[in-house]
Amino acid sequence: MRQQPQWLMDLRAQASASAHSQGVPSRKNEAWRYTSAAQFLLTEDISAVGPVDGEVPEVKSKALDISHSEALPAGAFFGTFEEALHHPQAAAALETHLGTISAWRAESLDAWNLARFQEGVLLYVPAGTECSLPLEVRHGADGSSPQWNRVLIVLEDNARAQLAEIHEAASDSTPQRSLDITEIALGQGAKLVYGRLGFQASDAIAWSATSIRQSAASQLEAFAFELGAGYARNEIRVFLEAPGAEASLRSALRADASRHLDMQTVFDHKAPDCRSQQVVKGVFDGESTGVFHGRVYVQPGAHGTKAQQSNRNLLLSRKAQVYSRPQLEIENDDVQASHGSATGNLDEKALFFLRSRGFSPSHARALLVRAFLREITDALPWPTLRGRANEFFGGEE
Amino acid sequence: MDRTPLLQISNLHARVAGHEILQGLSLTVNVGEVHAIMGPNGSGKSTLSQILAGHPAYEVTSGEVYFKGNDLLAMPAEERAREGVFLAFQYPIEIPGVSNSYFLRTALNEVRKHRGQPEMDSSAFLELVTKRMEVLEMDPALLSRSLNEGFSGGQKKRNEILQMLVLEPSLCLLDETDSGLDIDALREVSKGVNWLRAPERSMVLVTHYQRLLDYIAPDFIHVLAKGRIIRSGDKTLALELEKRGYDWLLEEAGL
Repeated sequence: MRQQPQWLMDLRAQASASAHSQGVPSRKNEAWRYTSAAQFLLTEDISAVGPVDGEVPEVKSKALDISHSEALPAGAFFGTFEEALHHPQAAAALETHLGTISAWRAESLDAWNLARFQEGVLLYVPAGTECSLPLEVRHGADGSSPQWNRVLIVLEDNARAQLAEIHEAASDSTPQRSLDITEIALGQGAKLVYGRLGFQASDAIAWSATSIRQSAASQLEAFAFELGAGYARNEIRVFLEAPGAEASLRSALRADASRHLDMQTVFDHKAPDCRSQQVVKGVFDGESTGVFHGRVYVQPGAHGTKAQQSNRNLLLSRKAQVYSRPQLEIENDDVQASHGSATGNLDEKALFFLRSRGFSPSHARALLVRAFLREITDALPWPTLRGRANEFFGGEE
Repeated sequence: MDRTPLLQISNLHARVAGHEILQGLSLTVNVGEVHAIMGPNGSGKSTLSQILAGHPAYEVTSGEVYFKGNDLLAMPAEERAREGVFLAFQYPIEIPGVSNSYFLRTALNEVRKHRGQPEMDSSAFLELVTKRMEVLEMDPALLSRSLNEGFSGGQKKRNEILQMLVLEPSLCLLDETDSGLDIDALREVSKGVNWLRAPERSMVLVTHYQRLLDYIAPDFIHVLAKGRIIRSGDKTLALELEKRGYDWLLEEAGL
């Protein structure tokens, strides 16, 4: 993107100023108590951005790879930000929504991405239309590192789409580092099935934040899997801004060795009669660490809210550990909310039962791990990606 | 009847969590025989079946167990299963997320691989398992559900017996399979056990009640008390126990 429009240059200059003033979050910051932001954002990244009012980095291509664009309905757009600028409605959607959902003024890494992103992909689906096939955005295809990618999904009223962001292992053996932002705007009655699927290698360091703004009666069905990366933190923030919006999240984390996986969720009920449901399941082996912090906010006016939150973890070794923190903040009485957290070991009885039927201990363990995660993985509506996820669990069946 | 020993237990002592449960148990089961082991609660009946199946929580402190002439205690649980030892559990567990049919086919193929037979494909398996379910009058829909999840008590016990009918083990250990069953379920479960009864197969029925033995006639009955067998006899012993209880035997044994 050689020629960035003025509005974008202005926005990025503001983001750069905000990023510099926010700096890198330290461990003293409660939100970063268990995971080090300095693993994702290095000193060299900061100095590379340049002065506050100075140059804005160029946007290059091919770090992000997209597919199935032939499935688009008339008037829809799926392509890079640069291409979007030549498409009137897509350009308008970009200008209207970019940087308005991700809270970059309060979140340091969000600000760094906005200042620094090198490539962006926009999916724009006009009112009342539907993308008939699932779309894919592939991160990391070109092996460059660090990656600062940005995705914007705009579904106008009653539009429908399915999109999976897939984080691949690098084709060469370059260690990957990425700081990615996704913003999603759902119009009234719009419906999106969304996946953030991490299939990286164990040397990958990945941070991502997906922020979703939902209008009345819109529906989000989201999946967040982190199955291969070595050090990762994913944030899913859902803002239910108008009545009747519904959001669900199913998340699966799997780590072994000394990997570290952190899942942060926010479901902010701002309007009446919205529903949210989240199930986050983790499997931790070796000396790995899991972190879950889930927040559900129910604002004073959000009567008739239904919110469910569940975090369940399986520890496969004595040295694996999990910090789980489910949190509900409810500001009115007319609410049905539940939350729960449970962390335990594989069921010894089940293990012995399977062995007594001829299963080897390793096969029995793999089967029970798969069984634990099935509630999450089986719900993924894309068979090929479901198969890939299952490979991480020694999957058969 | 063949007098070749299949299972030879001699002077077995075992403990769990520091408690000595088996205190010198000896028993020989020949090929083709059906033995019933009865006894009061806490006599060590379930411990014996768990030890034979290889449960790691039980510690054998002395004694020997040979199965087909091999040291059974030296084998891990999965190897015992592949060699043909099968335990029908007293309390079958539920495993959500593992389908009954996948589980059963994998278990069968583990045994077949061990025997040097080719693995069975899903259509051949389906044909086999459907026939075995008919013996037990089981609803075929249970096959596609998660293992025992939401099954009634009777369905769970039938599912254990179904596994036995499919795996065709050479030694069937039934641990209180009759407990918690109503009369219809007991009849169907017994039908399955009798269906599998064969000259090349042996069975050990562990039970608290005579009731099961009305349906499955054993060749021998043993009374277990305080971790060893205090009386052995034929099926008339069960009727005597039904009438007189266990106390007279315990007194005779000085327990």
